[in-house]
Amino acid sequence: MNNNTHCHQLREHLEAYVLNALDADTSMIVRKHLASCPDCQQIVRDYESIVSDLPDVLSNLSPLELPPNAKQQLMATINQQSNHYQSTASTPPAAAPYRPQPQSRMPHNLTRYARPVFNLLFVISLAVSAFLGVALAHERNLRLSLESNTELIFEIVDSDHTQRAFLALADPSLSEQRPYGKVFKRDDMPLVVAMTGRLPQPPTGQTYNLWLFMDEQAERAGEIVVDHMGFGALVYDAQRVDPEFERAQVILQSAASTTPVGTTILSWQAQ
Amino acid sequence: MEDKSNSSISNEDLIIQVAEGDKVAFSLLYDRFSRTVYILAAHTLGTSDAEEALQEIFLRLWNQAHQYDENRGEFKHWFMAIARNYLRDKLRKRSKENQLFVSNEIYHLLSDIIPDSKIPVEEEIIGRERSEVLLNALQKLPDEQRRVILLAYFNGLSQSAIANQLNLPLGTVKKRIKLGMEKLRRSVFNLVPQIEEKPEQDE
Repeated sequence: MNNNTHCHQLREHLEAYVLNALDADTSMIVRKHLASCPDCQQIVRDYESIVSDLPDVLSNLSPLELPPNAKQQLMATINQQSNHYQSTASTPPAAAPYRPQPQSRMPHNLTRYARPVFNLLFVISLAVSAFLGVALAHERNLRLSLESNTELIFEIVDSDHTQRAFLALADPSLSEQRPYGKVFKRDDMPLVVAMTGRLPQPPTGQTYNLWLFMDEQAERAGEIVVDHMGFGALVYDAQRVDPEFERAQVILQSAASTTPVGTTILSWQAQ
Repeated sequence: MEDKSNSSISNEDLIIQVAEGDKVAFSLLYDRFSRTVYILAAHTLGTSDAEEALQEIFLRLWNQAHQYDENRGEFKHWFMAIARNYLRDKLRKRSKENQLFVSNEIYHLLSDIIPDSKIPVEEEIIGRERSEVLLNALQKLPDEQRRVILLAYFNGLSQSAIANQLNLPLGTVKKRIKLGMEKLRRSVFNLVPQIEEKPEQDE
């Protein structure tokens, strides 16, 4: 496939890209292409200027008015926040964009039937961990919703500081479905993002866990919950900037597993 | 978009100042965009939740100001994405019926006013605000193209989610989005329309 063909194919997606209506993988591919294609960049800029005016169009037609005290309340909140950071000598809000999300956030695209199952599995895994003497304080899995953290994920997967690794299929029995995955990290942040595609739904009682290995030490980054298209994402706080690891695996295993034992589905190894 | 004060300072310059903790610059951006964000929130979540949404969205702006990168596009588009992401997340937690109501309401609001189609194209663009040109172009779209574009933008739905909601083939949705957006672009930027535009035959 030459570059012109590739560009021509990607142009078919520019409209949906600007509307944020593409799936995450295609969106990422388009974004990468835009970084080196001035023609497509111009088209996207035209579209962006159009869609960014849509709220104005709605606003001009709407009879609603702004609440009178809204600004006052907002500025009071901003001042409170600023005063708090000053008094505690913490990083000002503008410099502290990355905060671990509450663990009560639900993973991406759980169906209504999977949500209570996930909650139950989560509770069981906590109980088993406590029984086995695993300190819960070491559980650093961030169960984040892809949708509510899109901006954060883009910050990690698409920047000049980003390093990425491709998780190749390690289980030949899935060669027909061709699942794949990618792991992203930045050399100036402690967060690791993993994304998978075309993973089949795991059997009951099993989940896909991402494991990271360094010097033969295994670190469970967390569970990847996949939607009906096999797409899943995970944001993991490694608690150290530019986390190094020499191997990454997505392992299909029991939901309560605390060791990397199971069926390795996707794998990456440092050269 | 009307600038209420200090109109000579660009949004891009203001957000850089906000990133440095400049509350005056933040206040100016609030003045410029607050009504638009509030109306968007009100029509998406309802007026009872719109004020909270307005606060949260501007708080995100305050806390994420340093993330704006002018090399990646205009401030307005970046900020509207912040607003839309917040509203989309809130909307998705609501029932399907509620979501459908929102999309119908916005759809009808943007479809019901009849534009003055007797004004020549050149006069439509010269001297008219951008949003009026866009509204005119939007209302000239076939209903089915306008519908999918509004679902994608205001409801934050992906192409596949739209196809699912409207019970249409994915390819049909893709084509409607592409054709509709292309027509908007040609209208707004006064580009030469395609010769012999064929009626949509995507079903």
